[in-house]
Amino acid sequence: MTSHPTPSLSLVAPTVGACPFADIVRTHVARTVVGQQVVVERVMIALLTGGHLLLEGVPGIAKTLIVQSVAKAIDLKFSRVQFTIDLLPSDILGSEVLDQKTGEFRLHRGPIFTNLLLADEINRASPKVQSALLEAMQERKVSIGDSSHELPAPFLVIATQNPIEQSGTFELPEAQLDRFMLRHRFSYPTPEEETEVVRRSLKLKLKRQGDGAVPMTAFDAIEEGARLHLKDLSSAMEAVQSVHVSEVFLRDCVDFVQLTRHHKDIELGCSPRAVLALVHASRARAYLHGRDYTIPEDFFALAEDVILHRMRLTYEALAVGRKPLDVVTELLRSLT
Amino acid sequence: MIGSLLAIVCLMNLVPPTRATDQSPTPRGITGSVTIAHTGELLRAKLDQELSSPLILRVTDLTPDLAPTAEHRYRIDFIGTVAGTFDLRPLIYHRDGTPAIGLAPMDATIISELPKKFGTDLFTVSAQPAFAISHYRTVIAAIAIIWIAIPIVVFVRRLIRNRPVALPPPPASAPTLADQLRPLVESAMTDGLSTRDQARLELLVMAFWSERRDFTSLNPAQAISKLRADPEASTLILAIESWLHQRGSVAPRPAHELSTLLDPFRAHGPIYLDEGSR
Repeated sequence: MTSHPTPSLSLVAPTVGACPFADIVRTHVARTVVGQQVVVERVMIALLTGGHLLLEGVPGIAKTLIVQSVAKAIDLKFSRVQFTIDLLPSDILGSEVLDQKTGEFRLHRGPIFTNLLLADEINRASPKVQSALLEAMQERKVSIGDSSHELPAPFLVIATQNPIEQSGTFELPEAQLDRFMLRHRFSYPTPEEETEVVRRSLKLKLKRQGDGAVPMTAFDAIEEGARLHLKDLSSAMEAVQSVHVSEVFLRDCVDFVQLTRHHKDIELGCSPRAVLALVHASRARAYLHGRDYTIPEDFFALAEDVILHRMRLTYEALAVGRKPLDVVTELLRSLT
Repeated sequence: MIGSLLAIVCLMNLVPPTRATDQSPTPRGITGSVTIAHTGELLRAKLDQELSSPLILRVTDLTPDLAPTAEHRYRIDFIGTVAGTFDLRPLIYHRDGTPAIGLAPMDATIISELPKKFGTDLFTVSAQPAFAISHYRTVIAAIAIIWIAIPIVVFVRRLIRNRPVALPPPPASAPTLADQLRPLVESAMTDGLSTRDQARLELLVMAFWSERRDFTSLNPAQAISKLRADPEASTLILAIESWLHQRGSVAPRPAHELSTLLDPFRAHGPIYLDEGSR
């Protein structure tokens, strides 16, 4: 399926000044990334809830830069794996290697032993590698040889997919997509944002290496000094846990997910995991907006990212040109 | 001795020179055959037999050879056109053209398998003209009736199908947001609302303001965000949020301040709020 990113309809500007944690991260990221505040918010929601995030967007819209900036802002260990067709599970998980000096097997940990793993173009790897990663995402531990190893806490996978160039890719099946708490589709920057990107690029200087030099990139501009640390993230996560969810809000979420199971254009409705994701993500969003309780705005803002990848339209609906986003919007409108 | 030989010769002369095998009746128009044994002059069928004669025959086989002194076996095939018993001998001649006198009786019985009313002559058997014509006409008439009936049936069926049916009464116009809000607000003020109704009330209030601010074309998330920032709509929406979502506020009935805000929604007819668009 080839689709071009369209401006998301659920872009709701985050409230500035309401949550110090969010403000610090946003400020840090904004030094290198122009706009994309909703994406930064989604990354923070994933971090605060321990969910995983799938980002979709065409190349060159700062997917990697955003994730790396967030990792630097909170002093998280960051790894990036470019998924390719010949990647093996051991390339991600690690393996036991024979130490020739001692004659014993030594554990070689793969890039998955990190806080924030960026799985770039996850759909280019074989299903075997995808399932190895998704299993680790679910259980938060990996088995190497005879032993099982806990992954660091926090552990978050942010995977990216390119919605174009689908040849030679292995599309993630619905069951595996369900493991991702949120799937967010990038939108192109506005003309003003794009102009600012160019302005900043023009200000980048050369990076000297000995007698040679290379032009600096946006990655070189990421500030090294972290403003936040793991204990700050843990405190924020605790605060999210204490965000109140009312019975009325729960009713809204459950009713909405139930609607996806009975709509004539939807072949596969959302699983109960969708309700869980919706409620947990709403709590994190409420925290990021400085509230200690969730409100319908949280639910409406996140519904698209939580629901879209968990449902499948019927062939009849697809044949007449209906799109999943249209159906979700219709369902949301039916609530109000 | 000589006397004995003479007696034998006399006996041989007394035995007829021709013997015919028995034959069963043959239907008209079907070839029948008879085999005869004959000693002496060779035989043949009469030449130039009339096609209209009741019976036609021919000699079809002769065994064992053509020696004139031996006994020969003749196979004689015949076809009868008229039912009856016929002597075959008048139609058999010697090879030299003389009549074959002295042959044993050779009767061929021709039978008719048709009912008796059709007579005995095959050539005179013909269908009753009236019979054939009446059936032909019947068939043609049946085809014609079907030919005409099909379009009539199709036309009538279409006529029945397209007959204007009594239209159901027009559905009652969909209740307006105000109509839907009124009973909920009324219940909220008096008996209190269930969780489901509280959720419904909140979403209806948002829908009401969304319609009033002409945000219906926006995505619901954007519309709600704008309403929460709207100086007039936000008063009620934020108050409902506090009532329904804040920790510890699980009262089925709204507090006094919110009741005041909801009061205009209890009235019948258009809802007039204390705002600029009034």
